[in-house]
Amino acid sequence: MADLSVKIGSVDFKNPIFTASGTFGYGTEVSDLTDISALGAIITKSITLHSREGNPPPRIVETTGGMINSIGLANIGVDQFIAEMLPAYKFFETAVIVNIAGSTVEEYCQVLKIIDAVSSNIAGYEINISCPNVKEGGMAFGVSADTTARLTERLRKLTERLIILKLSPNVTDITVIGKAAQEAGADAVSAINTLVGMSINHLSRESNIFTTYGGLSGPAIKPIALACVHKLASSLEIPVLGIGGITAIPDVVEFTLAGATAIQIGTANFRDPDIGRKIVFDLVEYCKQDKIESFDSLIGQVRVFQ
Amino acid sequence: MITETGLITSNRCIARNLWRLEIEVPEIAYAQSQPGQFIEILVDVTWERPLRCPMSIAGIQDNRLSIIYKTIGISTHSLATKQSGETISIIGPLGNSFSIAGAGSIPVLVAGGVGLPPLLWLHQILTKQNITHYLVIGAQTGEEHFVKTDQHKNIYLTTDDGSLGRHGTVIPVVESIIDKTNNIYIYACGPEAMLAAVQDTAFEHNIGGQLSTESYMACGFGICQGCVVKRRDFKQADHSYNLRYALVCQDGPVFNMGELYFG
Repeated sequence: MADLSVKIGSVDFKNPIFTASGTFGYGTEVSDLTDISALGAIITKSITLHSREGNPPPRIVETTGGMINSIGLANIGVDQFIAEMLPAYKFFETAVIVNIAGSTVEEYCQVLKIIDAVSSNIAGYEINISCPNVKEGGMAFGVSADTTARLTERLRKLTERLIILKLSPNVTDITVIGKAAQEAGADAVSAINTLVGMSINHLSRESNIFTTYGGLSGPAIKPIALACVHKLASSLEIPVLGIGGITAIPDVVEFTLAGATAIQIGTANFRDPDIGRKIVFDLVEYCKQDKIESFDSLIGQVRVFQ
Repeated sequence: MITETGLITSNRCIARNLWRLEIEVPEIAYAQSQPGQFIEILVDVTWERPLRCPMSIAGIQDNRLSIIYKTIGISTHSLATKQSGETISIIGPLGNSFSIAGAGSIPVLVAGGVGLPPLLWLHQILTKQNITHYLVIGAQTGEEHFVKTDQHKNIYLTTDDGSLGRHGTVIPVVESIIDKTNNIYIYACGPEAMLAAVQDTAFEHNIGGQLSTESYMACGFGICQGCVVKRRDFKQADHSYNLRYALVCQDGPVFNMGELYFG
């Protein structure tokens, strides 16, 4: 069997198929429908210092090739997360990366400190600086290289574990933000979070999302995500985790060729929570057929014309 | 909660824009599904419409499950083109169900539009158990009604345009049943405005019951957190992670009268 393992920072993952934050709950919800031990890692829903009720409905609308969400970081808060989820993760046979969000630098730091102080087997943290659906924090950090650097620097001092900055595509040049994260000590970046989108019901003449704008995800955003991953991988030394409309092996291969060290499955989990396990299975077959010994040999190997 | 490939055995138009689909799904059919529960159907195997469609179960017979759907959007129009013999991916059974009230109370089933399927199933079960009950069905026009009015069986129809049954909403019919019957218990499913009116009527007459709701949702099993409805009581922590909201997919779709805030 081909070697599917990938290394991010100092951590080895058994394969490059992860689930994206906000699309797989806390990893404990869908055990009836899939075997999560097949996955390289799961990334939790964003955790904030206090529990958040999220945005009023409607929060979801389907669009051509995708969907728009405006959940508003609804989550159980760090205390309940530690009490209920961290103990469960001890029995997981897959790596867990905890996604953190906040409205101030202090809040991000506090959440990370609180989780990091508890003995657990989590692999690291993904820092959400790119949520388009909350008024403060989130994307406000991810659109500025300065605040990205300041936040990353502070977090870097607090933990030895992985720090992955999740980047927004809603910026002029994503590589500027990526470089700021890298220089401030991030182990990796993940790209992309959702794009700001809107949906209108022409019959009722109403917006389909309470907050007017939401985050567009799914296969519709894949070309944008591929371009962002390729640009980041071409200008950074640290690994890039690719996200955006991945539904099957061709997508995984394309993101890997564009430069992704690992990939995250997002929207597709809502349609088929077993899709990650199936893709890992298909990846083994793909490597066998193409006589690939180690899948990471494909990273960044796309042939471009200039 | 099971993912199963179902075999379509029938898919036909039963009233204007209303279709009944029957699918062989032995595993889900034998999973002790109850009226009120729903399934998630994968209509589009390409990713143009990436999400599954949540649909209430309209009945289960042996290994066959049926749904009744209205052709209103791209996915439901596409579902109407499926033929017997085709297969379709189903996740189910999902959500909670109506619970049959204690002995002595008389069930009044109130359905509006495509809220009818779960109540039709409940109606069949109550009929089989010889439990006296009422069924009130509202629609926009007579062409959308496929159940026949039958006062001997306590089945009443209403239409918004007066083309069939009583002209107007279901509420005056429900009130007339309340006036002449003691100890009733309401089961309702339909558009939010109807549920709000049913709840107001129930409050006014101090009547208990259960309401089945719907919402846009991406998954149907708790991971998208999209399908929230507002709670009135703020007492119970739900799958929505907080007191203000409940998830239709896991905390519902059936809620007790008075639990939810409409509007």
